This record gives sequence, structure tokens and C-alpha cells, in this order.
Amino acid sequence: MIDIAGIIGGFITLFQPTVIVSLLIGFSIGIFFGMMPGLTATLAIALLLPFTFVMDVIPALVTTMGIFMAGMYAGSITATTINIPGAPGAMMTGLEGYPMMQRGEGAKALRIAAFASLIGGVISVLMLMVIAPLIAKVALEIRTPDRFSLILLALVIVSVIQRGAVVKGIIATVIGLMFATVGMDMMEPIARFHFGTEELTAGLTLIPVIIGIFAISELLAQVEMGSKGLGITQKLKLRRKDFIARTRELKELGWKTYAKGTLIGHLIGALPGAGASVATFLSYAEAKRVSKHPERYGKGTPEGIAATETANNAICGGALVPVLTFGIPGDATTAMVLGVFLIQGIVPGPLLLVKEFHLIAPMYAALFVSALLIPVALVIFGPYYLWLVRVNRAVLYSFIAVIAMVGAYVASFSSLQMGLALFTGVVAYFFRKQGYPIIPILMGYILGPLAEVFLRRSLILSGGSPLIFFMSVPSVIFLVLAVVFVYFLGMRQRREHLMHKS
Amino acid sequence: MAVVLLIGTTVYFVEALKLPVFVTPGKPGAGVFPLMLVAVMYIVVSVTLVRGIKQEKKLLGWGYLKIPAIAVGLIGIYVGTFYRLGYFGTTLLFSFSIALLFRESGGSRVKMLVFPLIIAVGATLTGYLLFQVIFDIRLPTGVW
Repeated sequence: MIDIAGIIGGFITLFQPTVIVSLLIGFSIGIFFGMMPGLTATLAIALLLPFTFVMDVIPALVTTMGIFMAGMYAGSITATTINIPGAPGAMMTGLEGYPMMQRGEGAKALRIAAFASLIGGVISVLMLMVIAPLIAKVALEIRTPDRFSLILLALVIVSVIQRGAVVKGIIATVIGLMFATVGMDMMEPIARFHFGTEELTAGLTLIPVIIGIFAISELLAQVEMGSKGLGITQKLKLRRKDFIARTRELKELGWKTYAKGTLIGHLIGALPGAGASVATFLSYAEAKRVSKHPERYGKGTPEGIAATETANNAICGGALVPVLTFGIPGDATTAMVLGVFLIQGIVPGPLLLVKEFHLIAPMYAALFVSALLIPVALVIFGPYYLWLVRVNRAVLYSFIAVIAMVGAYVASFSSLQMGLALFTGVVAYFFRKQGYPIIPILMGYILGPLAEVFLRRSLILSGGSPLIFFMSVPSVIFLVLAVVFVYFLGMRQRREHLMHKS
Repeated sequence: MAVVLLIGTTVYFVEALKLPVFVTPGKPGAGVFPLMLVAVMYIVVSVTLVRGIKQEKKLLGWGYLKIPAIAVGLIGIYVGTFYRLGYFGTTLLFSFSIALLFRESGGSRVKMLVFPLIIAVGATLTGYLLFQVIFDIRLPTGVW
């Protein structure tokens, strides 16, 4: 049952002065970080996390949602204008947007991308409002063994969804799980993996791990590139009216493109670890498959941009479904939304929508309004976007380095945690250099404690027998799905990959 | 990389063996989950080694690691001195050093040092403004 009054209350809360300012700040940060190659909305939220300790919960969540929605869209700006996607999800947009830019249709590409992001974002949020309460009701019925099997399914998906690198995905996930075991055991008063040091009994805490994985590893990767800039020389001379969406253009693209893109983005967003790249690729492939002119794809077709950008922003609503209902993040950003909940002392899970809906409703409103702001921001700031990309990298990364390291310190006022941020950053950097994905490290770290607690509790209930996981219908369903995903995403992909190589 | 993972997993395994596997019969202890992770890791790392995954980039010399290693060293020094020496001095030096790593070649020596110094002052003041002034988070002033 949708709580309409609660949702309206959320919008009312959103338009309080401090909250709406938080949203606008988050939206602006999301645009900047999403647009800049080398920065991501995920990094922006990682840097924001230490500040959420001292923020009120609603402004903290609303800022995060603003960053999320704006960041997902903003990668298309540089993908279109300079053929360098600001975010992984914008790669497919660049395939179509940049050729359009080259033949003088850059403004058209940008306004189609903005409108498609609006549609995908708005509809996905509406779907979230309807679906989340239904799934939360189901989630209340699942028991401890089912919860373990569900988390196992999430870990399996996040491991095997890495195209062509399944083994590396598994290794990265297990590394994250291992990070999570450092420190005090959750069920017995035992310190684990502290190597004799008292300080490590606190374990690797959330903020240093996130800052290490996203900020420090990125800093090291950028330092390796040195002073090589993006080499942007072209000037973009566009007027504000060029960015206003034309009704005729939008009608030509047809409602089916938007509908399919939204559905694909929302569903993929709900899969743990799937990410924007998978959603945009699938949406693009589907649009090309049904297109009357598939030969135009890759040469600058607005249809391709509409399909990818709709899916890209539809992820935002989908990714929140598992985190709000089960406490399982759908991607790295929602993993950090989970972090914001935990920092604020809020327990994620199905009861969240019942007991704390006054906190969740403003999140819905923030996502909704952020999606509406996308084309508005393009009209107002569009002419200046390319200017922002020219920010000197020394300036950018010095500021990021300071905020990241001081952020790691203030999380627990511990120099050791700063050191652990450096450690996880170095690990993540080497993983990246060797072609290992780093998102599974974070997902393993976040989901590890839950997986362990539910596993051990289940085994206690069954007297040590693992058969308990096969005695409940939901648990069996999740385990079967895990096997299905291993086959279709893991083994079959590997066979196709080897066939392609030979 | 697989060899490094193997060594790391073995260190983890040795520590995990110190933990109780079962507290009482049927009640899994703190060592169960880590040992499961060790088993999975050994299996996948073995698969990696056996396949000899070609796409694993080999570390050809240390050349490409030079600048990132310097950055790691700078961050390590910053971590070690941050609390003892206080926010301002350490952050100024740290951000100046990071900015130097990104400096472009060419230009006068003064210019090559002045611009990073300006960046360092900006980054230090921005951090102070954000953390201490706006969010009222106390930054260390040094142990003296």
C-alpha cells in the first residue's frame, strides 16, 4: 500500500530551506563529479560521508540523492562534448553523442540526454514508490536462513557480473569479505586478525575503507598519469536556447524507447553490483535491435542517446529497492547510502519503510526533484560545462587528497584509520592496475558482516546442519537463482569469451 | 598478483587457525567464516595460477610505480605526522607535495613552485573551512 500522505510529507520536508539547499548543493556536486573524467558521483559521496556524522539525517540523505541522480546524468556531458565519458555509464552515450557533436548537433545531443535522464529518473522513482512497500512486505516474511541465501545471491551476482573477469570478480569480493572480518567478532567477544595490535581490534571501519577504495586509489591512478591533462582545446559556443528540448524531436524518439530504457535501468539497478555500464549497454543493444535504422547506430543517432540515458538514470530508483527493503545495496552508491544510515544509527531493512518512512519519503522527493532539475540545469549552466572540465588537475587532486585524508581521520579521530585508508587505497590501486574490479571489494566489505551473522545464526538454529538452507522455499529460490546467475553470467560468458578469442 | 594473493591468503589462514571453529558442538565460532573464505580464495587463486591468465598485466619493472610510490610515501608521512604536528603545517606541506606531482614541465622555477604553493594554501584553508568552521569538527593542533 503506497503511503501517499507520507510521500506528500516527504515533498513538504524537502522544500524546507535547509533541506532544499542541501539538495541543490548535492545536485551541483553530482554534476561536477559526474562530469569530470576520473571523478565519479561515488567518490563525491565517499568524500561526503565523514560530514554526515555532524549533519542531520534528512539533509545528509537528500544531499546523497542529489549527488546520485545528477552524477548518473553528468557523465554524458563530457562523453558528448569531448568523447571522454565522465562516468562508466556514459560510454554508450559517447558513441552516439560525440559524432553528433562533430557534425554540429552537440546541443541536440545534450538536450536529448537531459530529457531522457529526466524521464528515466522520474519514472524509476515512481516505480520505487510503488514497488518498495510491496517488496518490504515480502521481506518481513523471510527468515534468517533465507536472509543468508539472499546475501549469498547478492555476493554471487556482484562477483560474476564482471564481464570477462569472473574469477577476478570473485577474488575482489572475497577480499572485501576478508576486510570485514578484521576486528571484534560480532557474536563472540574475540578480536580477529589484529596481529597483536590493540588498535586493530576496532577493525577496518567504513569510511576509511570507502575513502581508500575510491579516493586514494583514484588519486594514485591520477598521479601515475602525472600532468597529462585532457587536452581540451575546442571551445563550445552554444546558447542557452539551444538546450531547450524540442517537442518534435522527443516525439520522433517514441515512448517505447523511454519505457524500455526505464524498465531495463530500474531492474538492472536492483541487481547488486550490476551498475550503470550493464544497464546502458543492454538498453542500447535493445534499442538497436528493434530500430528501423540499426545502421545509424554508432554514427550519431538520438535514439541511442535516449535509450542509454533513460536507463542510466532509471538505475537510481532501482538501486534503492534492495537497500530500503532488505538492507542490501544495489551498487556502490547505495552501499554508501547504507553507510549514511548506519552512521546515523538507522537500521536498514523492511521495517525502515514502516518505522522511518518520514526519513525515506524526502529521499524519494529528492530523487524526483533532482531528475526534474537536470534539463533545467542544462539550460542555465550548459554553456559553462566545458569550461569546468578544464580545471587544473593539480588543483583538483590536491583538494581531493586533503578532504579524503582528513575525512578518514575525522571518522573516528584516529591516525590508524587514516593509515588503513591508505592501505585499502593501495590494495584497490593494485587491483585496478591488474584489471580487477573494485566495486566487489566494497560490496563484500558491506555485506560480509551480514552474511556471517545470518550464516552462524542459521547453523545455531539447525544444530550445525547446513540442510537448514534447503528447508525453506525462499532460501531454495535464492540459491537456485545464484546457480542460474553463475551459469548465465559466469560460465556461459566465459565460454563465449573463449570462443570469441579463438 | 596471484602469488601475492596466495601469500596474503596464507597469512590470513594462519591467523584464522587461532580462532575457535566451534564454540560448542553445533555452534559455529569466530573461525568458521574466515576459514570458508580461505577455502574459496585458495580455489580461485589456484584457478588463476593454473590458467595463467594472460590478461593479467605483468609488472614490467617498477618504472610506472615510481610516482604513485612517492604519493604513497607522502600520504604515509602525512598520516604519521597529522596528529602530532597538527593540521595546518602538515596539510600545507602535504597538499604542496601532491600539487608538485601534477605540475607541468616548462615555465620558470618560481612559477613551478608558486602555483603549487597557492594550491596548497587554498586546499588547506578549504579543508579548515569545511571541517572546522562549517561542520564544527575539531582538527588536531599538534601535541605541543
